[in-house]
Amino acid sequence: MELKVKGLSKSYHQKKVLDGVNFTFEDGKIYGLLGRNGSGKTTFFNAINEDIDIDCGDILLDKEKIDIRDIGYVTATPNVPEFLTGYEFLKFFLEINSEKIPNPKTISEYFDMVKIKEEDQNKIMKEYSHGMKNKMQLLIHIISNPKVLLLDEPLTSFDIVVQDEMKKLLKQIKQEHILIFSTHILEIAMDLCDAIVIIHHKKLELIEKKDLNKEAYKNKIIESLKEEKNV
Amino acid sequence: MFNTLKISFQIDITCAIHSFLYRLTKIPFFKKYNLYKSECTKRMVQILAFICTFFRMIFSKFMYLGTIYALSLFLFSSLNGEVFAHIYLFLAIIGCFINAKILSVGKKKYYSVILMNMDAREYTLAYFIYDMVTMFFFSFLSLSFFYSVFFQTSFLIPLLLSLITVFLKIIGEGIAIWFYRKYGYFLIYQTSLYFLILIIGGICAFLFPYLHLFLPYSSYFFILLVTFIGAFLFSFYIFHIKDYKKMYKHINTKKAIMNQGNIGYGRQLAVSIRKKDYAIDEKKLVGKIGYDYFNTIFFLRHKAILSHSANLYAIFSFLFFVGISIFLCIHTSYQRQVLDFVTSHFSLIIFIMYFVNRGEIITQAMFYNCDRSMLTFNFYQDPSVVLNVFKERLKTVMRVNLRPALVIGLGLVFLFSICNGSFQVTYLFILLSVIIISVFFSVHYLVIYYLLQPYDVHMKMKSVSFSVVSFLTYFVCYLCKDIHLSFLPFSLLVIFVTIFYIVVSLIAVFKVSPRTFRLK
Repeated sequence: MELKVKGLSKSYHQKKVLDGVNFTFEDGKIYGLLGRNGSGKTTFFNAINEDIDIDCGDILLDKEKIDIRDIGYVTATPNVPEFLTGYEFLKFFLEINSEKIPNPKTISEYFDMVKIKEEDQNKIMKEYSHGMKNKMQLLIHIISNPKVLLLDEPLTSFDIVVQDEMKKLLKQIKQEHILIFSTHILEIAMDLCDAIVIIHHKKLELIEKKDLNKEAYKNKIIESLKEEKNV
Repeated sequence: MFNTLKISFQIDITCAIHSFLYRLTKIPFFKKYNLYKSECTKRMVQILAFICTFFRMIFSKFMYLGTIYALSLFLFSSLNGEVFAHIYLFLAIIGCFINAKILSVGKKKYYSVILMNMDAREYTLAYFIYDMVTMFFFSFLSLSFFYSVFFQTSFLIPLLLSLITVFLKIIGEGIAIWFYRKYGYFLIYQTSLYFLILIIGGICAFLFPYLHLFLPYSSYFFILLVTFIGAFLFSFYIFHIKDYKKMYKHINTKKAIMNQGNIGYGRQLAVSIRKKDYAIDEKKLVGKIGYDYFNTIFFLRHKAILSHSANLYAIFSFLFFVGISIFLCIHTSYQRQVLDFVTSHFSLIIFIMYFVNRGEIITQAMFYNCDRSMLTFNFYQDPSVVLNVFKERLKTVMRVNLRPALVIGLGLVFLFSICNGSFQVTYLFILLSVIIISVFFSVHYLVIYYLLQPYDVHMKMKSVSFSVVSFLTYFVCYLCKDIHLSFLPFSLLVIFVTIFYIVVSLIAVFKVSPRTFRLK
């Protein structure tokens, strides 16, 4: 499975944010998307998720125009229906998607996956912390099993224990998915991702690791990002 | 203290200049110029801002007095200076309670005290003195003008009234601070107290003069003395408080400042789930699954906002019809008049049902508490999900709105029967048309919400089409009141038109909404 981005461009008024982006993402890998503030990471995600109109370009999944239902977009600010409890949300979601989810687990098994305690499951989500909402959002996307999962800063609001569990979870599901993970924290990206992609000169560029050790690779990424700002 | 005031004014003027320049840069002609760099432009805007502020203060005072004068002339056949002073005094008393300035939310306070860390006490006291001096100056100026032009009175009464206004203001500020420090919230947030002040103040201001009871000029010397003592004591209190900074931090939060006067924020507050609705009766969910389950929870958790208001309309309508029925049973001579009026003005029912319908607030609550987040999940944009949720919602919205509609419809049937002395089968058309109109509005609001989804994530209106359709809805309902048909042909016309509209709009929703029902 591959997600091909061909000639993707997007401008806001006079300002070009993405300029003829060409890149191919494959399944089995977690891609870390890095870029300076305002470099266009969120614009790139929004373009793939059809949240914004693009100026030109194609987004193809296995050579076909991508269907929005094949994408899951975990936003940095978690969006969950706050009038429901975690349990109610999950129950509703599983019921309306019962035919689409192969081998569904029980509700409590799903909650165990993201370590949401029983007393929190029955709490209205308006009362949830940022991290808890984020867990719920991620859980729903993981269950809905989209082919492409876009993750915008998903781990930063988690404590280190949950962060570790989420990393394991993402590594488990990467074989059947294309995972693109945007973050500002280089350590998380290097620890979790199989490939680092930066937004460079309004395009995507893969930073080759080759024979570099961890420190040298890290420096290479930082240098590339510095260069971006100096352009 | 003077220096604090000076710096604060500079911040104020800088804000005014920059917001003016920002608006200017939105005009295409000015886009090519960097107005923020031009010192000359800034100087000009500064002078303009000063002149505007001065005239705004005078103008607002004159407008205020002019409104009181016009209202008094309308209410009282003979208006003299004493009555005017009486009304002015009691309105000033209301104002001193509900319009406290020191603890009001303000960008200026946020910038000066919170962001720039100015001494909160000095800031408060400097502005307090400045406000009192300017209030006295502009009150005296405008009152002197009004009294000399309209009542041919000397400057003494305007002077007394201006001083009393300032003293009352000081008392009001003192009470507001005392209340906030004691209870941790604003006095005017206690709704019952707020309305009590308004009602008692309003009665004293307008009802007493209407009954020829008003304060004589001589009493103002005594009022001056009393308010002076009160103002003196409260000034002492205001000057001795040390923790203004703490209060400012609580009140002038970033969220409060950024959302001050923001309509979207107002909408958010109006539809936020009330805490008492968090716990719901689980028995009502038994046997419900999928969309029905989701929708039932939504309405149960919004009971206070949605169902209660519809129930209130139903109760008020019921009480109204009971009251008027009793009246007509006692005063039978009015039965013919009431029957003629209701028959000839039956078309008013559309306008009434427009106001009774809860469709708009329901769709706002749907968006803010549900769809705003759900639409970020791609499964929720699936056509089958959009339409299934729509169907469930439509059923519930219709059910909510039917409560007042049934009461109004049955009430009208009952009224017609009393006035005519007997029940006729044709009266059932009245009930039917009221129900159909209610269904129409339920469908209409939900349909335009699904077709035009007008809000952004902050509940700001982003759709011109939605505003136009909403205005047209109001306008057409308003025009309908002039249709002079008796109830039978009117009912038949309404039934035909609304059924046609419902069918067409539902087809439109089923065809188009999966594409239009998106986040802005």
